[in-house]
Amino acid sequence: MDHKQEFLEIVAKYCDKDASEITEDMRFREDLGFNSLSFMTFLGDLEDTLDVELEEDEALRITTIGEALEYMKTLLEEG
Amino acid sequence: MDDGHIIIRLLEDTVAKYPDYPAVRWIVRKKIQEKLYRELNEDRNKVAAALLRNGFEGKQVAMIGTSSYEWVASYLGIVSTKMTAVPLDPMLPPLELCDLINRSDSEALFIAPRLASMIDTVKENCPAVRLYVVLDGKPSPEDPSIVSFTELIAGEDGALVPEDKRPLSDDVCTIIFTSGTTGKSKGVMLTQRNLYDDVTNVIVTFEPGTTMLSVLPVHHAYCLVMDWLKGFSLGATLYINDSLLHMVRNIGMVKPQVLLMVPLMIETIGKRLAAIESDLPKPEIAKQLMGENLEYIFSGGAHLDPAYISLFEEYGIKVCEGYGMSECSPTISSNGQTGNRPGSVGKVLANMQVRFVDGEIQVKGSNVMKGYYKMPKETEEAFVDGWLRTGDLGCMDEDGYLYITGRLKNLIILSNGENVSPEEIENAMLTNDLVGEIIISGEENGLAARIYPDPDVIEAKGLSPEEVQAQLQAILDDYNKTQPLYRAITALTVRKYPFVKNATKKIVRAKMDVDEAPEEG
Repeated sequence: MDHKQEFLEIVAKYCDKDASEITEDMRFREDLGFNSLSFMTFLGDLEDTLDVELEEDEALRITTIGEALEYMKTLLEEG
Repeated sequence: MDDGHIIIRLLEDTVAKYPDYPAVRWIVRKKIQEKLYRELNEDRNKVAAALLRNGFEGKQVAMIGTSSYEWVASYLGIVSTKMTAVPLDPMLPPLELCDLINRSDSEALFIAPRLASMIDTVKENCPAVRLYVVLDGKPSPEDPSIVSFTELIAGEDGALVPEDKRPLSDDVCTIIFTSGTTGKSKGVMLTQRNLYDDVTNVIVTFEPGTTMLSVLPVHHAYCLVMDWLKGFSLGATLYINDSLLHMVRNIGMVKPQVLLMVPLMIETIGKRLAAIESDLPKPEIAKQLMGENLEYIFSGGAHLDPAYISLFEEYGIKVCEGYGMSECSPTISSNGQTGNRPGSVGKVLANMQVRFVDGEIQVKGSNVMKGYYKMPKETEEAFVDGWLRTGDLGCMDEDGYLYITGRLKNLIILSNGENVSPEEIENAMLTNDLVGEIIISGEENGLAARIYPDPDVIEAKGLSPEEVQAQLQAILDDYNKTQPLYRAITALTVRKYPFVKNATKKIVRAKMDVDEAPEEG
């Protein structure tokens, strides 16, 4: 499974949506119903699954799926 | 000579009995580190001695940071002597922190390494501060006013604070700023006795070595007193949660027996548990997510929907709700290990008295603050004949369990002179799945509801905006039918975004008309 698909599968666990329904323009809180804590829990889950270490302050500024994917891409390239 | 009601006694008693038990454990890159009770005791004595040597006796010391071993050892060092710790919220903007440092007359600052870049701003704005301690990090070599925690305590021998330097029970030892949704924040002055009596009057007993995981912000009285001081008094091992990102993972790794949480956390974990599809019995599912040891979650800080207490019970975990405020160090009442009564906030502590004046809960007792620091007018307004006004409405059942029914300061006084507690209606409305968040307010013609519908429910049911509006209206109509006319809700606004929240995740009522995408958190 590629990283994008893996990422979308994790998002789907938190928002009651199928990974195939999640698009890059969707916003975590407004469109996918994340609250502040579930978003943080999701980020932690992401770290574990993709074996990356997030910069917390930076990660918390993410609002859309597209931004998150971009951020993940940078991390994976660096790692 | 003190009369024993000083915080440090709680630690000293435990150190005498269990010196080699682990006191604090924390996780660095998935590896666990620890300090034993005797090591913690030595370090806090070293902090106290170093501060005394530098002339801080009788002074205020500000602290900015999240939970860390160094933060806790420093706090205990400060309150081992006649000094006052001023824990501040690290999430506040730097200039606001400077204002609180100045308003509390702090002369030293202990600061987390992550925030050390703020020191320049503090130096510019807070001329009274003459010592900076970085917890724990490499200080600037050319500036003698900045030292690391390790440097501060280097050379101290860890001997007990001399008897004449120990604090007295009625000395102020901690100033906690209340976040307050409106107006200027107030520095709640808590004495040694306030905190000691709070710890010793909350009836919770655990075996020494019990594992706790501290997930709340340490500058809040609830976390500081009920996680840390209570935990130390019981000889517990306190794990530090390094970040909310890792809370669920850390719970699974640490396998705590006891957790203190706010409702948002309990709801988040509850939803996560309920979402796990498995043929296993529910208690087994909980063990897979949170380890096999979790017995109790204590809830405070806001009202918890009792449905979550029942939910967790199905998973074999007892949730006990309590009630308090910073001004009460913070506990007023708590459900305990026996006689837990969901929906209530438990029994009032034995050292506290309660009365109800026009429905308002007013309290008196040895947990109640000395006053607000340098705010005599606000202090006077907070008390009536020596009773602290909580601003909460409540009642007590025949068995002595306290119930919160609303908040006085949000009391809506209608044009016909009737008073309405919005929270009572809000709580009733929140039992409907579609109602995610709600604020009831008094408008010209009666009551108005602003509702943020639960996006999960909308998604699950596939509702259009028109259907959401219609279903919410139907909920209000049903409610109105059961109420006297003056309590009818006559206006409905459906929000696009959640309400603005303050640092403790409470809705800021003053901003109920702001409907914008939240910036963060």
